Amino acid sequence: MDALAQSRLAHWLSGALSQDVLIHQARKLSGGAIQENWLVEATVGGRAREWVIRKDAAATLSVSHSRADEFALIAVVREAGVMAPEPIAFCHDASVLSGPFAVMAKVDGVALGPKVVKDMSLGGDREALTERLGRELALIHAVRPLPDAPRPDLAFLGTPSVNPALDEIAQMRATLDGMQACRPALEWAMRWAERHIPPPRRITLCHRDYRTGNYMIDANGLTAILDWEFAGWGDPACDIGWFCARCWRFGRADLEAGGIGTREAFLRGYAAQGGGPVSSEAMFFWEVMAHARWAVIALQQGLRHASGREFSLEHALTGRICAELEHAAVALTEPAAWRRG
Amino acid sequence: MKPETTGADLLQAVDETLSREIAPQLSGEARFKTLMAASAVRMVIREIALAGELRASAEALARGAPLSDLPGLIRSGAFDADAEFHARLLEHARIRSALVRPPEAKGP
Repeated sequence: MDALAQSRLAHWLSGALSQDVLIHQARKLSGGAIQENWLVEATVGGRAREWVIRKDAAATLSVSHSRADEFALIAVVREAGVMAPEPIAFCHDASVLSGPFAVMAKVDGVALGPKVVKDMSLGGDREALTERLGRELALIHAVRPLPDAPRPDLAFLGTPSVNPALDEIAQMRATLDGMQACRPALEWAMRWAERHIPPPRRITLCHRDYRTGNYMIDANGLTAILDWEFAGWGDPACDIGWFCARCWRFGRADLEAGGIGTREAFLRGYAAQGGGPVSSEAMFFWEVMAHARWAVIALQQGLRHASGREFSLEHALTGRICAELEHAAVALTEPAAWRRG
Repeated sequence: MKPETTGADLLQAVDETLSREIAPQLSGEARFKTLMAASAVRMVIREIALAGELRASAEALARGAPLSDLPGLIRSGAFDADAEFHARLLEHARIRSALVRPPEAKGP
């Protein structure tokens, strides 16, 4: 961040926090396909503070929330007891850093999926960590829409769908059509899904990207649940399917809960915190949906490069992952997995 | 002995240069991007090697019809639970997946 931007940021933060803020350093962090993240080291009223600034990247996925919505959402889930990063302040004034941005407390730990799975010096007792992640998910799912009116604090999430699975399939098809993508394998998986939608459960807040890679751990255990940009009202089983889907196990296919623990431990934690029962059929359904949805997202990421909007070899390669996910989804939905009729 | 290097041979050399000679001298983002570039090159090498199989499986899948007709047919239920179609689809998906990552290196 150049000196001028840093000075504008310090000035704005001083006003927002009603305290003198002195910024020592602001450096861009790697990662974050949807947003730019900056680490800010500052002194506030004589105390050293570390914050993360989150700002939209040049091109963002249409389904992800604005930083302002994400900030409001994190405030709600923190209130519900979820271990999300502490929200500090939000800036709507685009003249400070060329766009709105959120300031969050920095959380220490590691989130990178392959490292979380393989580095056993992290996370403490893995079954306890898995159970804890089940508990955190139940806390998220305890946030519910109001019966007759939008929740004022989460109005940007819109009206909950009556049949989230069917809507999601329609959205994925529309996305493929919009990209003029011809993906027979993905179509097969989505057709299977359309024919096997489990009875919708009570709608709750869903994280919708709850997986290994999107929580942070240190040597002792969980330090934060991250990446709230896809959250929305939905069938809570979708988060369980996403967490357990084979495509998010980072090489540890035997550890069904995100490559870090057993499915039983995850569900035990979920139930202990008040999460409702989830049938094995619903879990399987949402695991197939996880492959399909990740495949569509991968294609969208690939298109960011392919369209010429944003040069990125990483995005181009992410687009190619779609083929692996399609193969897995077609293998899961073999003819024996189709109900008659 | 081959009379000359093919395109695939050259790509192989590019991969080895990036992976074995350049990447070890780098760190951080530069190393990450170099290894990513090498990975992309390996993908193209596999694409060249599997081009025939991929074409054959695509032809077998569509059975003479344009491949672009399949999404609409699948959505309409024309192949629901069709074991024979599923086998052709799985084979085509397997080859496409092998382009991304060789089967022996596959994780989950």
